Amino acid sequence: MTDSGHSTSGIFERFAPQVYAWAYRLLGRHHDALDVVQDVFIKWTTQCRKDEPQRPAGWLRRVTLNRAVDVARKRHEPVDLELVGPRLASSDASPDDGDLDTLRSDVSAALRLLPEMQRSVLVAKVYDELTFAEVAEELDISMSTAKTHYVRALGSLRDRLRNRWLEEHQS
Amino acid sequence: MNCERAKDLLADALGHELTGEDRAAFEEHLGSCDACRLEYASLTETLGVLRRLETVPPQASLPFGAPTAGLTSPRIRLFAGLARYAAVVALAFVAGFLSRGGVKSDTDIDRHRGPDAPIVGPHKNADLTTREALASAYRRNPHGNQLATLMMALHAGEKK
Repeated sequence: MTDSGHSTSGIFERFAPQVYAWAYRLLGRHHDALDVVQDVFIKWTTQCRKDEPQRPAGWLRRVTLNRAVDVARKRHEPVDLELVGPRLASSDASPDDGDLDTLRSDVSAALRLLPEMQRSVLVAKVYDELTFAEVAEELDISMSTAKTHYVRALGSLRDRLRNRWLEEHQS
Repeated sequence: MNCERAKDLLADALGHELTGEDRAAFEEHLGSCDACRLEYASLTETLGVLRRLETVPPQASLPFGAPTAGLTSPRIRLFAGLARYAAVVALAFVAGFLSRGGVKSDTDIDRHRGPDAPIVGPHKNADLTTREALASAYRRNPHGNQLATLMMALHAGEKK
């Protein structure tokens, strides 16, 4: 995606819902996500007023995800999924709202533990539904690197979510 | 297809970007290789978990608009906050100064108001004293921070 020449208000109108969604996925709380939206666009205004990134979406995603990780860290939330409750998943489990909240919290924590680039690639691929070519261009990496980050990120998430949310696969 | 080649295609398969012959060969390999099938199945399931959270609760509308170019950076906001705080302090100085009539000594009382004049309450000479102190401070520091100058002037006025 290549964008340029947008005013701050244009960028805000276009990307604010997406920035909110990125932040919410990592934080799971409305007000924390709103704080991140505000911080990100203030940073955009102060840093990018003169020198606007060629790919605003890539810049915004990276800054948003990093900011969300910072916010979560300051909240001192537990991130060790092994310490959180019994296993809830079963093959026919259909999570109710409570389970969904717990799932959201666990996934958010697992996403925050990923290295920055793996997290950016995974969010771009899974939630923003970009192709590997688009992800590579936006993050300024090669396609093979994007693919490697994607598989590694999924592997890390699987290992962290396995005990609660994934079935045991037997050979 | 061997496991090494299947591993190369794993990202494309998980990202729904595997097509044609590669896809057919990958699926065939999974049918005959337990390790690769398990790897693919567990990562696909992980993706399924992530996609269950695809929908983010709508935020209705963001309770603020795009930041304006003015008071936006944290540093500027900090200075703005400090300036507001300093303004309150300065006003308190002014109020305190005026409530004491701007008169600091019996000599002043004698000179401007006479010995029997009440000390408490605003007095027209108080304004003069403040203005004179300000004018003097501005003469000394014409390009300085106005608020700081005001506070210095008032502080100096109190010491008179």
